[in-house]
Amino acid sequence: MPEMVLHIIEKKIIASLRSEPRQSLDRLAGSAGLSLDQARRGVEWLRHKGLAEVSESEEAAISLGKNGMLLPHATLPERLLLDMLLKGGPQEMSVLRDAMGPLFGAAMGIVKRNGWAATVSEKGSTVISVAPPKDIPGVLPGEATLRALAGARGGPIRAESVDPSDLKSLLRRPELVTKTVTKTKYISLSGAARNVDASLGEGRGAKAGAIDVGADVPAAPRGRRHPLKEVISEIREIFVTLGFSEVSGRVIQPCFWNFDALLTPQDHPSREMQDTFYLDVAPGGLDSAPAHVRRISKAHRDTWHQKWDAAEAERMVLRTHTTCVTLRHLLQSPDALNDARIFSLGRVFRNEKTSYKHLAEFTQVEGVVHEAGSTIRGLMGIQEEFYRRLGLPKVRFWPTFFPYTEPSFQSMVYNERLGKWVELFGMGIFHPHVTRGLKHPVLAWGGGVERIAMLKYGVDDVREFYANNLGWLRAARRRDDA
Amino acid sequence: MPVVELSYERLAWLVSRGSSSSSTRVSRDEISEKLPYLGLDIESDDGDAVRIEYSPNRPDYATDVGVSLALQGLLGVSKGLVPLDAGPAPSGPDRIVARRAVAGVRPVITGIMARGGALDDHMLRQLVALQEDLHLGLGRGRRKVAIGLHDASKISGGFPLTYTAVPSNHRFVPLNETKEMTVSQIIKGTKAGRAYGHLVAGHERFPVILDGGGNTVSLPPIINSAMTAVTTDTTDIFVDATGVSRHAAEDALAVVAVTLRAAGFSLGRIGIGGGRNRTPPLETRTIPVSVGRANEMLGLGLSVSDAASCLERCRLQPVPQDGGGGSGGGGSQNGVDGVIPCLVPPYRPDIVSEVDLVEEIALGYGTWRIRPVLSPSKTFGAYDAASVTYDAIDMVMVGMGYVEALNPGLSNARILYEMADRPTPTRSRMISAVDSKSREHSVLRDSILPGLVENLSRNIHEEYPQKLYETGTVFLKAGRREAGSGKRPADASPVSERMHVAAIAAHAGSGFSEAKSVLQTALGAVISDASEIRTAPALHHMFADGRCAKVSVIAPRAAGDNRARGRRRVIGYAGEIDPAILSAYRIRVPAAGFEVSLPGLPPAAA
Repeated sequence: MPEMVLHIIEKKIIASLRSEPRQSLDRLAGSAGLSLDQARRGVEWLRHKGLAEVSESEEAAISLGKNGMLLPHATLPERLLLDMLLKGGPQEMSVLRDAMGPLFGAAMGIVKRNGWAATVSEKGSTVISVAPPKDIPGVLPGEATLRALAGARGGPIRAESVDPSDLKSLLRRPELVTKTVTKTKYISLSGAARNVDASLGEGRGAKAGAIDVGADVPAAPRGRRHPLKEVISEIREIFVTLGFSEVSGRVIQPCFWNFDALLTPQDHPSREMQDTFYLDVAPGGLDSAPAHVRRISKAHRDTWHQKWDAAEAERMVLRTHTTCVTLRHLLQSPDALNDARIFSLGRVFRNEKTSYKHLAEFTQVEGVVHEAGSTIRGLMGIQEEFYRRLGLPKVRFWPTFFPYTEPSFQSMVYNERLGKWVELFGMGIFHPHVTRGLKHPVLAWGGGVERIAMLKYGVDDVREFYANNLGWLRAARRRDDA
Repeated sequence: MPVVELSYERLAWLVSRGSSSSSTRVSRDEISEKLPYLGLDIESDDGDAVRIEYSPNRPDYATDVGVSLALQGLLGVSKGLVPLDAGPAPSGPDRIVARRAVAGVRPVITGIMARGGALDDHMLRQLVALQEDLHLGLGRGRRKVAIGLHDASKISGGFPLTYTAVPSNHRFVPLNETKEMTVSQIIKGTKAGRAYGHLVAGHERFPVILDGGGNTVSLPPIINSAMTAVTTDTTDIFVDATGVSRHAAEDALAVVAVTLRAAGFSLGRIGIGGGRNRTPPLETRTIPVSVGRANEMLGLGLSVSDAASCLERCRLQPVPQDGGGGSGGGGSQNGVDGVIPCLVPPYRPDIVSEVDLVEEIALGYGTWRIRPVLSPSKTFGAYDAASVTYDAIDMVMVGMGYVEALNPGLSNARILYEMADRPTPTRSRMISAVDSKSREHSVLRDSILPGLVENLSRNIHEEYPQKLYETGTVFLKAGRREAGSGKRPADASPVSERMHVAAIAAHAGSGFSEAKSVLQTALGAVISDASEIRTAPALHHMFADGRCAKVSVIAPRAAGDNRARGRRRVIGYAGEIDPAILSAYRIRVPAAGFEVSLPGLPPAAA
């Protein structure tokens, strides 16, 4: 067996247990001159090394219960009754009941059951007479225990210190005495500890300062970024390396930029309050050039055959997508007419009941390409490359419908863990009405980041990302099969 | 998005029915593979039953007959237009006359006859589903359009029908009832009445369709009469569509018409007049599409005839062009810039302009055949300034052992004010969302720290020390003097959005010194001179009195400001969290932290 290396705490514990073989943790800490925490750790180490054993023993204590405390001088009710009968001879039951009050019933039951007294009824009155004194035990069952408790001012006293059958007779009665069991851990040395060198002195040469390098140690607390933010950063990084510049914008937008500029009809169901968060703030205008507003207003009338109301477009909403941000950048930034690859990452909002797959507020990423020669095939190529870099190599595209892109597709990626195709980003070319005034058709795609993070972290309830459960935040790890 | 359950067996039968050769029989696998390429998401797939989700812009996918028309095209079983064969508009007198009385209430009516068909339970259920779908989408909850289906043989008083308005004491037996009821009783006493009565409320008279004998056929948009109920014995159906928009009514009617036609009915026009109403033309319209434009957008090299064939597979009809070089595959050279005039049937109101036809070409081509191509970027990527700042904060906070929390920006008054012991701002200051579906998400946060304290309360069983931080946007109504900023933000928006960072540490030894020390190090990552950070005694609702400081820095000078140094401004607070707040949350260890707005940054862009 290799030389056992012991920490000074372990040595102190062994020394103490050699002088007193079985000790509780509290006692051990005191006797070894350690703090409670040191003693606890030391015992754990020793146990791990097979040098100490921990056994648990139960200790029962009894004390007077609620009803026990009400007894005069801790005297049993049947003793009170017998005393009265022995002193005063046979008596009318009503007289005794009046004298004893609520204790009478229990006392009467016991003395009758044991044959210590008898009742005779005649002419409507009941008389109780007592048995000869030799038939009544000098110490009634339970009396010894009760006396011990009275001597200890009601307890608690150790259950072992009284006669078990005597105690049992008391425990049968409602709340006369109570019994509480506590478990205490006792530490003792194992056989293997017998030959261990626990001397605190110099020990043997170079080994004196050595420690047990194989021992378990507590985990060091770590700081970390939120797992969702890690995915967001990764996505940001991929976009930048693919030549995209990040833009940011307001969370609160006039309807005009969130809906009207994207040609969402003013009576479209998605604009209703049950789907979109409207804010109780005064409108701040459309925030757009008059020529653009005129163009959009006309496009609405022509496409949807209905009036377009500027007041409706001024209402303020929590953005329902980040398209308002990328679009505003394309149409309003000073270099709007230049070729551009831009992307935006940010929170978006839907007035939905939250569930394991829906949040009222989530993070969306959106990319747009405004350059000559942009095609759907090129858009699909960027998607494939994006997913490949995220570690999602199996991608396919299905046609779909979005109100402001034409044509529109959605990308599906295969997830090994779930064994199925999962819908990720939507994509398409902005409708010409939306990007009128720009030089080229504009490719756009985007979607929720949480869905990707769910695949990456094997999370099945999207609410986990905003629950701030420290246990999860500290431990969450990426899966390889995302 | 609407979902419909279909049977593979029935779909296969419906698809094959369109084939000229009786031997063509498509398999279940072929169908299941192609459905997604029509834009139909397979939700679940269990034996013969398949549940598909379709886009609200394609109500013609609400029934299996509608889906089968599209499948026929994509599988090449049957291509080009689905003929409606509704016959010529009758030249005789109008068979439905709208009276002036409906003009102010619900002016539009249109309709069509479908004869000689047979309905089984399944088809009947599908028609009801289609109707409901049209009511929700195109019909905007029956306001714009409501559809009625009637057993034509049960219209006892016969044609002509009158579309007029009657007072609320008008009586008839509504569908699913056995006794006559007045219009007011129907509106108050039936489910449909309660759901849709509001659409015609506020008028003294209510729109009804009466038959030649004065019997009530329908009380649109609420309910039909029991008299004309459609059952599995029905062979002739009268379809009405009423509403406020003729466009929408005719579009919805066309979707029902093509569905009934595909289900085996033959269509017949009904003459309609009165007011601005007309016999529905149910005509195809011609929209031109440039094949060059389509190729440019899709990245394909289709010839005119290729593109034409793609359109046919989407049940559209390219018009053959006189002497066009595009006929036959060999004509591709001439055809690349060719323009195809394309006939679009009336049940496809979703096709409005050229780009919609480009999408149809992609669909008809087969999305699975479009190969992605990656072209190198001509631009260099860059990070947003805000991201760079947040990243710097992340690095330093994580380095100090802090775990990042993420709380919603749309929080609630309980967390933001009540539990944080902050006074509830007056209504004019608090930014609330109107009619939120969950109380949890109802007020925009104006501060991050209250959320972090709440987070601690959810983690009292986790190991201490607990150290949390969060960066993000907070929202302040414009005009509010944010701590230290001293002026109304210059932008037009009624709400100012600001970047904040907040942190909190909870453990037995936490206190003001730790909070200040962490704050100094954090800010050191984003400002040039951390020695300029000052803390002065202050009072704040969230912090214990005497253990709270306001934090100030030297603000960077604005452009054109020639002073030697910028002005000092307060950017937030640091301190020990008020024990009363912690105890209300049952947090048993002391906590200290800070929240500041991030200085030295350009304001958020639009």
